[in-house]
Amino acid sequence: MKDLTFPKISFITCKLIGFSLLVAHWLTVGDTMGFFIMMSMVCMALLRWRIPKLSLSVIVDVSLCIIFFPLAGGLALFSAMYYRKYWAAVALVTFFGDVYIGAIAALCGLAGFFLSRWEKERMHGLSQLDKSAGKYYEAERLQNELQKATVQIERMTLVSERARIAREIHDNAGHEIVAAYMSLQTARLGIENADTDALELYDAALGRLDAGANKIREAVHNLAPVTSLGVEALQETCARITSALVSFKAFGDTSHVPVYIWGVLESCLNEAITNATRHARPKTIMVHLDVTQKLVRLSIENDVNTTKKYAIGNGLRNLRYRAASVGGNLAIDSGNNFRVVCVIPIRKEANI
Amino acid sequence: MTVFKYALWRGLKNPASLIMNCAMPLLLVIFNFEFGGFGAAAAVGDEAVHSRTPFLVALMLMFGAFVMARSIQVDKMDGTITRILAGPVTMRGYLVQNFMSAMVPMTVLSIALGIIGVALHSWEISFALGLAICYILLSATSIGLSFVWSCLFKDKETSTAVLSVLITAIASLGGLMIPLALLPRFLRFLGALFPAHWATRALENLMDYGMNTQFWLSMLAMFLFTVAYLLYGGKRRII
Repeated sequence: MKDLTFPKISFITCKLIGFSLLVAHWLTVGDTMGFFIMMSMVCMALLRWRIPKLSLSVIVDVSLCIIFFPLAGGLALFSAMYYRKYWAAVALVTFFGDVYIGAIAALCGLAGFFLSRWEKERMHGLSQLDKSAGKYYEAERLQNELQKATVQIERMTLVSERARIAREIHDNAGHEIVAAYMSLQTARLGIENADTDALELYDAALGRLDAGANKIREAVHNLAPVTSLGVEALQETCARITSALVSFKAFGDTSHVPVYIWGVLESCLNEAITNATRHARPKTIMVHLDVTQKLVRLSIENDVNTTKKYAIGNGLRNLRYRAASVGGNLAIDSGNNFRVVCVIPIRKEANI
Repeated sequence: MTVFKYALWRGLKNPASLIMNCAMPLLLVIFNFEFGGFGAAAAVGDEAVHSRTPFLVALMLMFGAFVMARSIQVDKMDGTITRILAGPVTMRGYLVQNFMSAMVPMTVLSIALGIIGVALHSWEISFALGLAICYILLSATSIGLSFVWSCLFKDKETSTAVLSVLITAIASLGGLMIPLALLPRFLRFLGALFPAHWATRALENLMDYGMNTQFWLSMLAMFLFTVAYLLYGGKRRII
């Protein structure tokens, strides 16, 4: 009701004006029939207002006006056109006897028609807005579900990896160490009884322990990731750069940053450093990583030693999409220094 | 029917309601008081000056109907309606039961007035019947107007104050206080926009000619008023 230009409010206002004019006419003329037609039309209008499905009841209004009270025909036609009962325009034929009343009725009908179109357009716009909002919420819901799924996959991977490590230790090193323990127990009895075989058993146990230690070493070697993860990966990327002096500083607790965010941050750092070395020929590059409870912020800033104009390329554009896909944002500042800032929220609700 | 019973009991135990709806109209009809005589017949030309008793009874019924139907406003103010609607009671059910609780005593009274008139004052049956119909429809219209009033106002005190002024104006313009013949033409037409005028016209016709076409036209007007008021007053905005 805040918007006073609503077609419905305009319709009610026009109807009120119409009824006021009829009342004014009735007050001057005092026609009893006019009063009853007016009252009937008020009742019908209220009925349509309370029960919108009864819009067909405008036929009663139009009929009453045609038969008894042509002066109110304009009001009836106005309602009929507003409720899209266009057949009511036929009633205009009956007003041919009085040109003025016919003209007024036609104008009222036209006004009702335009109000009806306006209402239709407005409803169409509202439905479009509803659809857009629905799509937006659907996309957001999908994103949340995707994020939850990512976290679940991460957790399942950790669990399965832990199980694999346990199996590796049990199947390989575990057997050797148990066998060595049993040999040592037997060797101990042999030493107590001054048995000559005890030395052999002792050597065998030592051999098994050595084998077990080797198995554990191998297992650990096999389990260790080839590439570094998280903040170490960012540090390594910075350390690889030789064309400029790169300083890397990390603040905050990086342990609770999810894996999917590290992936985006690494891509961001790689792209920003590659762009900087290729286009700006910087002397220094400063990389700052700030981690708070709610978000991660990675800032890559470099000085610019060329006159080349800055333009966003495919790399940065793709990064922007990737940041947006995890609910983050990528900002680029091309002042005296060139700076790329990536901010990604850490979603707690995704941690199921 | 809980709402009906409660509303009926609340309406009847109100002293103002008892006086307006029961004691005064019954006394007026039983003793057939003549309050008429607004000046001499010469003052109004050829127009006949009727006995004012039926008009006064109509005025009291109108006030009584407003008093009976005020329970909706009270319910709205003290939050009772919210608690009622939290239960298995629809808004329509609540309004219908309230309407009936106000209508039943008024209907009984109107019929009782007719019966007393026939028994004590030897009224004609058709006159008593017409009077009862007129009073019943006037009560229904007044209750409808009270419903509309409950929708329009949120504050009970303001509502009651404005309603009192409005009823007095309606009754004056409608001819219940001053004979229609004494009113200027414009004011008479202005009064016709309210139900009291049609009640007055119906009573005048009834007393002069019995239940003729004009009487039934007045009844039709009052019926249309009732429908319009109830359609507007029965919306959910009442909460």
